[in-house]
Amino acid sequence: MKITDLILRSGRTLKSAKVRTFLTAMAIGVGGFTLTLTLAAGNGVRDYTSKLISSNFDPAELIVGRDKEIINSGSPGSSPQEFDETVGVIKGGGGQNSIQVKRVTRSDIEDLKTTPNIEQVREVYQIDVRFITRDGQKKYTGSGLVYNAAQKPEIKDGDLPKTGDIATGSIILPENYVDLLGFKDSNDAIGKFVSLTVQQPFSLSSIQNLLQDKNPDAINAATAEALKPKEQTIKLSVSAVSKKSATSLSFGVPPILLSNTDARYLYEFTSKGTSDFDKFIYVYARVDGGKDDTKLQAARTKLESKGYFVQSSKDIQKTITQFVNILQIMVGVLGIITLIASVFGVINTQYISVLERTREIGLMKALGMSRKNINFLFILEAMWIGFIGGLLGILGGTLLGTALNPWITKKLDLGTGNTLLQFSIPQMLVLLVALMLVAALAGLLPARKASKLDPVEALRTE
Amino acid sequence: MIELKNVSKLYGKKSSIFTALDDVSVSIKKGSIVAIIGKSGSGKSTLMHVMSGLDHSTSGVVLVGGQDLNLMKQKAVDTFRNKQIGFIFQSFFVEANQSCLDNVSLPLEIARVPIKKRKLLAQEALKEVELSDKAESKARNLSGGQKQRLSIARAIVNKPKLIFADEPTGNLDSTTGEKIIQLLFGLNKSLGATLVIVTHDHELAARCDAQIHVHDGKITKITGDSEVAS
Repeated sequence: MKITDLILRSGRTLKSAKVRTFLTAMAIGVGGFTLTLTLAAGNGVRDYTSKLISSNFDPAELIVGRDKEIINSGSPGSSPQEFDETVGVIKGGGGQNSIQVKRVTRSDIEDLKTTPNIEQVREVYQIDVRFITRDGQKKYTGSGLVYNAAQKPEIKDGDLPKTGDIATGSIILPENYVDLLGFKDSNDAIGKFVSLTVQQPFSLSSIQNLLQDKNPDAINAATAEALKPKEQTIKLSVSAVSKKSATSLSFGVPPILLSNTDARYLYEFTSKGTSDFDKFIYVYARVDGGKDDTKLQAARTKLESKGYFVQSSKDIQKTITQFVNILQIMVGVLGIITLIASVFGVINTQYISVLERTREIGLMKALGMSRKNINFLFILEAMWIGFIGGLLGILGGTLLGTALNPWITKKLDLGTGNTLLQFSIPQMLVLLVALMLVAALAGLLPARKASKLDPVEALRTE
Repeated sequence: MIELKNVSKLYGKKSSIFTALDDVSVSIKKGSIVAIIGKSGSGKSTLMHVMSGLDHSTSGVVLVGGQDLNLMKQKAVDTFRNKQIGFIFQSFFVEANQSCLDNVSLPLEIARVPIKKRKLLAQEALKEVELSDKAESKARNLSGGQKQRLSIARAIVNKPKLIFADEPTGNLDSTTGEKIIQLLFGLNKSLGATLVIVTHDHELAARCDAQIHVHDGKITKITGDSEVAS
C-alpha cells in the first residue's frame, strides 16, 4: 500500500470513531497544552531577562570588584575576613546585619586604567540626596546616580545626547517627581531648575583648623561648627524626564541621573574625609572592542590574574537564566508526566481498536495486505491521535496564552511591549512532531498485535 | 488451476494434536465451478484456506496456477492473493463505515493502483453487481443481499483467476441467495475465473461442475465432471 493511502485510511478509520478518538487525543492535548505554555513562558522570561540585562548593562563592560563574595553573588560576608583599609560596610535593610566588603580603591582604578585593552574605567557615584525641591514646593527624598551613556533610560519627555554624557548642570528626572514638584506635566519640567541638597557628615577642614587653633574658646566654637553637618545645595536644570521602566534592576524610586562632573562633585562632597572616600564596591571597566566575547574574556582573564574579581553582563544573565531554566524544567516535567499518562490512554484505545477490528484486519490480510503495512496502519492511526491532540493542545495553549497575555503583563507589571508568553512557530511544530512520535511509540505494541493476527483466526465467523 | 498432493494440516502441539486435513490430493480445472461440501468441522474451510494461501499446509504440495505456495515467502503469497484471488465470505466483511466505492477499492489500494484507475475499476466492478447507484453510500445502509453483492464486486475488482466463496448464501434468505448464486455463475462465465464454493448445501453443490466431499479432514469422494475435479 502507498504511504498516502495508509495515512488516509488510518485517518478515515478514526473518523468513524470520533468520540473515542477525540477523548484519547484530549489526553495528549493536555500534555501539549502544558508544554506549549511552559515553552512560551520560558521564551518570554528569557526575552525579558535579555532586555533587562541589555538595558542595565553595557555588554562591553566588566564589573570589577575586590571582594569575591560580592562579585560571585554568593552569600556576602559568610566568614569574617582580614581587615584592611579598603573594607567598607554595606548596610542591610530591614534590621539585617550590615556586611563588610573589600572595595576598589583609587590606586586600583589607576591600575585598571593602565591595563592594556581597558578603554575606560567608570566609577559609580551613588549619592544620598538629602532632599530635592524647587521654589515654592515641598522637599522630597531621593538618590542620585551618575548617568551612563551605555544604559540610556527610557525617556518620556526631553532629549538625551546621542553619545557621551549629559551636559554638566543638567539632570534626568524620574517621572515620579513631576507631580510632586508641582510641574503640570513632564513636558513642563523640561528646562526648569530643581535644587538638590546633600550633606557632609562632618568637615575635615574644620577639624584641621581646630587642631591648629590653641584658643579654648575657639576650639569650642570650632568643635560645635565641625560637628554641625554641612549642607550644600546645587541648582540643576531638568534636561529630560525618565519613564518608570519595567526593565530596571533598581527597586523603589529610580535615581535622579546626574552628569559625571556633577555626580563626582556631589559624591566627593558627601564622602570626603570619611573612610568611604574614593572607595567603590565595584567599578565598570570598559573593554576595547569588548562586544567581541573573546576580547572581553581575554581582558577578564588579565584582570583576574591581577587579583580582581570580575563579572560580565553575561554572567548575570546566566545566573537569571539558570533560575528560569530550573523553573521551566519543573513545569515541563508536569507536562511530560501528563503525556506519559496519555501514552497509556493511547495504548488502551489502540488495543481495543485492534480487538474490535479483528475481522477488518483479517480481511485486509486475506486481500494481501502485508504485515508491515498493517503494523504501519495502526502506528499511523496512533500518530493521527497524537496529531489531533497536539493540535488541540497547542492551539488551545496559544489561544488562551494570547488572550491572557495583556492581563499577565499588567499583573506582573512587565511594562508595555513586554509579554510573558511568547509563542514560537518552529518550537510548536517541533512539539507537534514530538507529540506525534510519542503517540506512535504508544501505538507500537497494539500495532504489533494487529500485524501478528492470523487471518484465518480473524475471519472465523462462528 | 489448483493441484494438491498429499496435503496435511495439523493444529496444536504434540499432546493435543488435531488433524484438520489428512493426506488430501485433488486437482481442479481452470475456469470450472467446483463445490467443496461437508459438514461444519469437516475440514472444508481449512481446505479452502490452504488452497488460497491464507494458511500453510503442514506437509504436501500446493500448486496454484503453477506456483508452489509452500515454497513462496509470506510477502509473495500476500501479493499472489492480492492479484490472483478473490474472496467472498459468509458474513460479507464489508467495512460498514466506508462508502461502497472505498470498500471495493481496498484490494486495488493494497496493490498500489493509482487513485484514478482505482476509481474506474471499482466503478466497473460495482456495475457488474448492479450497485453503480450505491457507489457513494455507506456500506452500513445496504441490505444483506446488497452487502454480499458489494463483497462480490470487491472480489472481482482485481480481475482474479480464482474466486473462493465461503458459504456465500449462508446469511441470506433463499430468494436473495439464489440471485447471488446466479451472479457468481454468470461471473464465472464472463470472467473465465475458476470458482470454488465452500458450502454444506447439497442443492447448491449439485449445480456446480464437480463436488469435492470432505469428511473428518479427508476427501471421501469427488462427484460430477471428472475432467473438472479429480
